[in-house]
Amino acid sequence: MSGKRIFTKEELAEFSKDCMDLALEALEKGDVEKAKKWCRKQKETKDCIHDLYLHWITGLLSTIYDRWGEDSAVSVLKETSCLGPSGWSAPFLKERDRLIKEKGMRGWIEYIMDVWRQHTMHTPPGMTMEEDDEKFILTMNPCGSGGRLVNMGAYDGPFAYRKLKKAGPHTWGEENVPIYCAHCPIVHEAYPVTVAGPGAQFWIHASPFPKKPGDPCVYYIYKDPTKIPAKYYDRIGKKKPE
Amino acid sequence: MAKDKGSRTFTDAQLEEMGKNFNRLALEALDRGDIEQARHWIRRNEETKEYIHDMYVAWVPRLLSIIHERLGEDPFPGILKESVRSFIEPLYACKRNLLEQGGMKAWMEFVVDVWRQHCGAWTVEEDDEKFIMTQKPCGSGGQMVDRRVYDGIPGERRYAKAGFHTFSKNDMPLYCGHCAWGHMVLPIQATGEPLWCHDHEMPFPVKPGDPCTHYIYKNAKDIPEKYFDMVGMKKPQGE
Repeated sequence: MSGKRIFTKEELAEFSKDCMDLALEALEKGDVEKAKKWCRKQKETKDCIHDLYLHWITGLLSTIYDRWGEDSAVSVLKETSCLGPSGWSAPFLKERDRLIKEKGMRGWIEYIMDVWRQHTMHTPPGMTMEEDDEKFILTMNPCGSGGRLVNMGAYDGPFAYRKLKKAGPHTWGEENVPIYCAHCPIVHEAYPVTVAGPGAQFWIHASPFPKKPGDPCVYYIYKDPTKIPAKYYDRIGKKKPE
Repeated sequence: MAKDKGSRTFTDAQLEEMGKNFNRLALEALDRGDIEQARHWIRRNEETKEYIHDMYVAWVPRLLSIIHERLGEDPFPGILKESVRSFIEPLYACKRNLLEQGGMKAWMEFVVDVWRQHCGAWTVEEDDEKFIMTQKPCGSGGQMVDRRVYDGIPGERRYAKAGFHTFSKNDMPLYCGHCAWGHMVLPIQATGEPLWCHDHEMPFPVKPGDPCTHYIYKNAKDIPEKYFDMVGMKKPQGE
């Protein structure tokens, strides 16, 4: 190794692997302490790219709001989150259908939780899942994206991201919905019902969004979609079938 | 929770597990000495790590394409430049502090830790003057080129005209445009040097399979002038 070099070849090779790969390798070698080190490193660094995108997306949505107005921002939210190549609502619908067919509600809930586990959801007090006879109750305190932005004060101060001032079916009938959170009523509730019919909501926003720092976001996932109360249809401009 | 468990899907212990992410579950398993369970959670993390990441990676270029479509080519670079400030500017102080406290070693470790969360594939080499990070593909821009999101039905947009904001190259994907601002122009303006230099000949992936190569010089005075020229900047005198 040259005198001007900072890292060994072994350290450079480690640089090509992510934390959890390195944790697995350490376990293969029987080095539990090193595996713990990489799991801790994962915990310390997992938010960096996630949060970059969170701010970037919310900043771009706010730019669109400023340049073309609130209605245009809503239209772009619908277009980018539901339709076209970036829309994740349609693939999510297909995945849910497949999972429920193959594994039942258990498969769908496990999948949802895997998604949320990758959403930096674990700032204390964090995320809890409860189950009663009719539904699952997922409480995010905070949600890893919209909730954390509210907790950061990102809709005030230097970031000053925008909120949707006008209430309508696209905001659950609420005013001042943070622009990032505004994808939730569209993607999680209205779009699935529009394309797949009543009961297709991914989940119901019971809270429905954090209004001030510290507010949780609570989801209900009904085991029998026909049990979703009519009020959750009314607020997104849909009708529950008689 | 109600007492009757007859219609329940999960046990209380399973529900409690759902409130924890994979690295925490792995650590808890290791603390109990349950190596197999730790492996299970670590593998689950690897299998699911792209879920949110890739959703975001798809969302940004779609938003950029819409803005480009509505505003046109000329105002777009300025919009992109402003949009990256919020996540690039904190890095200047971070880099300065790391260099003061732990030298280039600490800064490189930080850079690699960030890329480890970006779902790509890469190698890091070192020679006497610099580090060479080859992303093949980069977890965002490179993967999108590999997935052909700039062609066919997805049709995300590229710059129509070359300029310093495209590293002076043609057909730069709009998404990759943030690299010119965030990694080079803005840091040079603020600190006199880039965070890292994008390869002069191929600063972004042109076709599927192309790498994206970054150079991180150990001493800013060794950065060749061509890297400043490619983004329309002048290397500070006396460096």
